[in-house]
Amino acid sequence: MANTNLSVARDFSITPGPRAQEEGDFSGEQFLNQVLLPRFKEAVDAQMRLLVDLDGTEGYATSFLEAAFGGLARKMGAKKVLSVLTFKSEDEPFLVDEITKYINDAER
Amino acid sequence: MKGSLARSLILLALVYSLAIIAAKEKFFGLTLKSELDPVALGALCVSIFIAFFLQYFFASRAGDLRAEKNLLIEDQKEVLAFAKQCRNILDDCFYAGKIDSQSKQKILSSLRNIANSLEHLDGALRKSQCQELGADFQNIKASYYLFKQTATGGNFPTTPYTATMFVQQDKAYRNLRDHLQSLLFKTNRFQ
Repeated sequence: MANTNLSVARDFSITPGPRAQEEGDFSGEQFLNQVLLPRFKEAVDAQMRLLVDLDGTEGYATSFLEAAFGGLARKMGAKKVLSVLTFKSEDEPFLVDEITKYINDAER
Repeated sequence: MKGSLARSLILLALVYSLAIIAAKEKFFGLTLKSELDPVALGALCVSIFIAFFLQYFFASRAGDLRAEKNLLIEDQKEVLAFAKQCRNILDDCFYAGKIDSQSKQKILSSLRNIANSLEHLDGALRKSQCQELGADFQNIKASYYLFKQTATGGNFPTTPYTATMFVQQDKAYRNLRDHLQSLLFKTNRFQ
């Protein structure tokens, strides 16, 4: 399966913010609705995997990650999300496990 | 090691020469047998070889292990220091009643430092002679995620920490610290 990619720093912000849109700029919810979900659907339609590049930002709060990736899993199903998304995180390798945990926990 | 082996051999040769001279001069009631007993000589050689082999084998193994344990302990101390630094920033935010953008950046940066130093520690543990202690690492990782969750979950950074959240954070911090200290003690005692 071919890859398409999405960089949080390039396509969204280098300062990912809070959980919900009403709480401030560059929230997880905003990332989900404006970037992640549309790109995810495009990847599914094109039968491609979506590589999410997490590098180049100032860091991610749990609230942002849970809203974005947990939110995607609540909409599309954890199994589907994990079969389409792959992650790159050289700045902080632990993020990949952490996000996978939020995706798996989202359906519980 | 080569230097100490050479010193030992010189010492052995010196003792041997003194014993021969003393026996030849009949000092201290010593005598010198002129004929060689091949069995006794062979046994002596084997004994000397075993003594040297065991001494250098175990000394070198113990030295390597201690050096590796010291490196791992330094790595564990580094994680503990980052965790403490993060807890102090969280304390300041709680007492200030707000999380401003500078504090947010400091919190995220110190959590990244903890995560990356843990990742380094995990790699070092796997490569070291103490790799069986890696089994404890999953608990440490889980307690780090819990600490991060209590520090930056919920409505972070828009809502200041409540007393309940602060207590949860403190509990998660102590849990992480306990796991790290336990690994540190186990590393130090590892044989």
